[in-house]
Amino acid sequence: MQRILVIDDAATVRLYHRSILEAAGYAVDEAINGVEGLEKALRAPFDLYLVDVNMPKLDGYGFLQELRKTELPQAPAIMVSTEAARSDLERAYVAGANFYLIKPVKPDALLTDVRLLLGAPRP
Amino acid sequence: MNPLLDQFISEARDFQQSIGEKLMQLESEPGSRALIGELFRMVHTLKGNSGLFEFPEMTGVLHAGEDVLDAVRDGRVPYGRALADLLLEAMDFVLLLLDEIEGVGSIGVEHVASSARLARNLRSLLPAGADEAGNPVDSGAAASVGAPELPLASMPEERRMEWYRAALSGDALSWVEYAPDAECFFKGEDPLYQVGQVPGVVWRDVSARKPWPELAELDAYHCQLVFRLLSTAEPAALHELFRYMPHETRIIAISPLALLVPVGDPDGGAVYEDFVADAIALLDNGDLAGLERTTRCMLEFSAPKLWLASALRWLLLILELEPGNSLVLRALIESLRTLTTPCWGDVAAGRRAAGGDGGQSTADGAALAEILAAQREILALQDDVAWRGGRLKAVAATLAACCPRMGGDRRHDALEHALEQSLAENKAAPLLGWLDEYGPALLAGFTPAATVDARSSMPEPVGAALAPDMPTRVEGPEGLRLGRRSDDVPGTAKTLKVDQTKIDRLMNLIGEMVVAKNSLPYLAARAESQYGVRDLAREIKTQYAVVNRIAEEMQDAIMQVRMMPVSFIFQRFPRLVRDTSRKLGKEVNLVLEGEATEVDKNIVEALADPMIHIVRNSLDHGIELPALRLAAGKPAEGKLTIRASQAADRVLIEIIDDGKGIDPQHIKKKAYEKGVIDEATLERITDQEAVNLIFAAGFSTVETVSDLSGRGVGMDVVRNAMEKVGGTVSIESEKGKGTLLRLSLPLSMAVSNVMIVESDQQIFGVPMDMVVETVRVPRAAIRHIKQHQTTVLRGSIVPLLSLNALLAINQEQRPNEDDEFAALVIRHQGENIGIVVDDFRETVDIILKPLVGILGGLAGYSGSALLGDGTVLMVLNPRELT
Repeated sequence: MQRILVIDDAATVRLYHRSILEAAGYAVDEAINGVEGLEKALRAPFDLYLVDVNMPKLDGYGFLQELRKTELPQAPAIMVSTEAARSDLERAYVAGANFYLIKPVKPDALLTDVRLLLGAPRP
Repeated sequence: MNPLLDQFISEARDFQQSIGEKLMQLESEPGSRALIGELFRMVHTLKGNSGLFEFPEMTGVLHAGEDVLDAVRDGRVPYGRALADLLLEAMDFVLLLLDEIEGVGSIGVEHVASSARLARNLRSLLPAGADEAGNPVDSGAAASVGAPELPLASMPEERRMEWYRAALSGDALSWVEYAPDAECFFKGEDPLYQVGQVPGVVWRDVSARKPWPELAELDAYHCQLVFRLLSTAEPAALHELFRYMPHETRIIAISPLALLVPVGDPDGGAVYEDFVADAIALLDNGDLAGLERTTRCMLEFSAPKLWLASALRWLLLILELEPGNSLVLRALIESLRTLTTPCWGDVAAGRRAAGGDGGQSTADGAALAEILAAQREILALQDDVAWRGGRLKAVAATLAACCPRMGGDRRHDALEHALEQSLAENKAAPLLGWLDEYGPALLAGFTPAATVDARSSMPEPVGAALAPDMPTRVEGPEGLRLGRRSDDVPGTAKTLKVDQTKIDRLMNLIGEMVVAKNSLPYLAARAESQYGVRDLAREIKTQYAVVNRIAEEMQDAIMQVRMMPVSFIFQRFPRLVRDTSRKLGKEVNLVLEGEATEVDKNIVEALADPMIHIVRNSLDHGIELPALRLAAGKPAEGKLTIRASQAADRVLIEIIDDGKGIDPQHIKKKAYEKGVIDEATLERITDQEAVNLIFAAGFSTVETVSDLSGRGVGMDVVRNAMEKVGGTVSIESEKGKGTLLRLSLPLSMAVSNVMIVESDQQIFGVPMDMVVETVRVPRAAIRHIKQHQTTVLRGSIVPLLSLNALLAINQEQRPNEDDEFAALVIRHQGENIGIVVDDFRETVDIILKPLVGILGGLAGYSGSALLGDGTVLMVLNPRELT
């Protein structure tokens, strides 16, 4: 089963993403900030990362930079942001995001992108 | 309520509270960038969460708060009191909405106005020009298949057919909605020029956002227009063109199916079942030529204005353009039964399912285009950061993921090669080259026309396509194999949030367990006395000891769960003191100490109201106005200390102010005037006793009920509330120096120690913390003074009251064989009283349950408890009885 790591400090958002992705058949793990996200990725890399921007301790940009520095298999990362401003987007790309979604993420849009990046869910 | 909403409310409450606390902290350390950053993050997250639901009133206010805090963070707006007041008000409003959502599940319309007002007030603090209000359209990133909100159906059918044809040949189709900022003319923007720049426009329209006002009121310098366009240009080009106005534009990729909307007169009879049946049969048999003939024939018989005719024309177009697209053909034919447009979203989903794992819908095509555009943008970055290699690998992984069908084919090999080259040269160019070469083909693979080709040339049954056919992924297979390990990782949360009712249930269960276990000794006694099996009795007792130990530990553990820090109540005081003192025109410095002290949750709850009352009293009557304080030689700013500490098994809460203190003479005079004390007492009582009079019922020194602490309740309410939970309250005050109020409470009130007494062949419990001693009084030692019985104990006279008389049982108390009466000496309002009972029994630990319902009105009892043998013990409340 393809594994997705949802990193967001808001439990509500984590639950929201988790329920959409799990209902579609993907395996989901959660992290509450970049530090925990890195710890989990180092323990067992994921096939896709769904990363929030604003987080305490280590934010989304910091997480991606650290992740891209590692020797881990580099999987696609989607940055989830409420700021549609261009400058933030570029910052996300510089840090190592591969795509972005604007909050609140529509379930259809999320699943379309995840399916494109991971293929249909496999058992 | 659904779990997501539950989660939202619970988290939002936490945020609401933390934001309030952070705002209070900012008062003491203004200008702290860390705090501002933290505040912004929390408001931002809360706003994001609320956006998942339909709570525009909440989101609107939070959005305004977020914008203001963002401006503060960037130094564009100074942080000040007015701003803090508004933010606090906004957070109160959010709390109100949360309560309402939790209560009734939605937000009432009456809040719309307050929400708008709060948001407006907040935004008024922003520098001019930064006001983002009035941008109703957002930039939607998602392509929608149905796009029902777009007025596509109202466009001429021929044009739509034309665009459909173009879309199938590979043209993109985007809906652009551009509502320029009302102030755009002052920002040097030229909306008309902007619109003129849009490439590939096939249709456009301009209209007013809302009905035009009267000419006299029209402000020609405010832009009221909204432009709507359809463009066949690449979405990336459109996003590029409108990149400086993301909040004013909406660019939506349109699926060709969204164009396929038959329109016309639905009348003219719906008896087309024969045709529908024939057409479906022809379709199933693959006789597309036959289907086309039948359709043309039907069209000739139909008036062109009918809905039917429109649907038939579309049918012919699809037959011409995508004869293999049987899903769309079938949906269109079946729509003739109902004369309503098929739900294309479902059809597309069905096609995706039938098409296998690739996700062949046009919605996917649009999303893919965006993903590829994003990778191109990433590759075009000109920086040289330490993690560049990782970034390149991630791009390659993303690109590889986007073409899952290509297995070990040429494109894949080329991609791997390009990645290696890119990494070796530390340049993005090779990967960009790959994207240039294979990107368009990849996109073309997702257009419906290509889908049809692929499927019609595929001889295998549909099921074969469903088999997952994933290529070797660039990152290697390890990532996939390690799959389930994360399931074994222990949970992230170190603290667990548990619904209070669950703890209460545990509490009740352990209470019953304690009672149930207490029946074992009774059982052992019966086994021995009644059945004469002494061995069994001993075994039961041994087992009892084990169960007893476990039950006690369990009880202790559950008690620990119920313990919570007093900070739970303390945290509301900064705000309370701030608001109250400001209202009174006083300056107060609040000091909180010992917030980590833990007490039982029931005690914490019982503490809240009395403490608020005391603090309000201190602010209202204790601390003087700055001028008076200066005149008295004190600093203008008063000091209020709230301190919690633990002493043995009690928790002490002290509330200390350095205000004007209490004047005993004033109290004495008032008490006498109100009839609380008589003249003799007035002469006799000490100053300390006089101060204690403020706890007497019906005593309040302030004549007029004040807005704050008055409300007609005095300190007697505080005393009663304390006594209810087994606590006491005492006061120390020095005139001119200040006042100290001390609340003393048990750490836990779940288990009470009571003494069992017997009277008139019934048993009653008396709380041990009230019992001073138990004595046997010989009949001869009882004196009668007027109507009352008394005795002398250790040199002082103790009044004796018969329990039977107190409970209105018409029965004399029974003495023992030596003609002595059993008297329980309790302390009541500072005096010892003897309560005469028939006999004393043991003391027991019980779980006291308050009387509820009709019995709740019986003030003479503080509650009931179950004993080990199953009997009910009524526990007396001697304070009320005597």
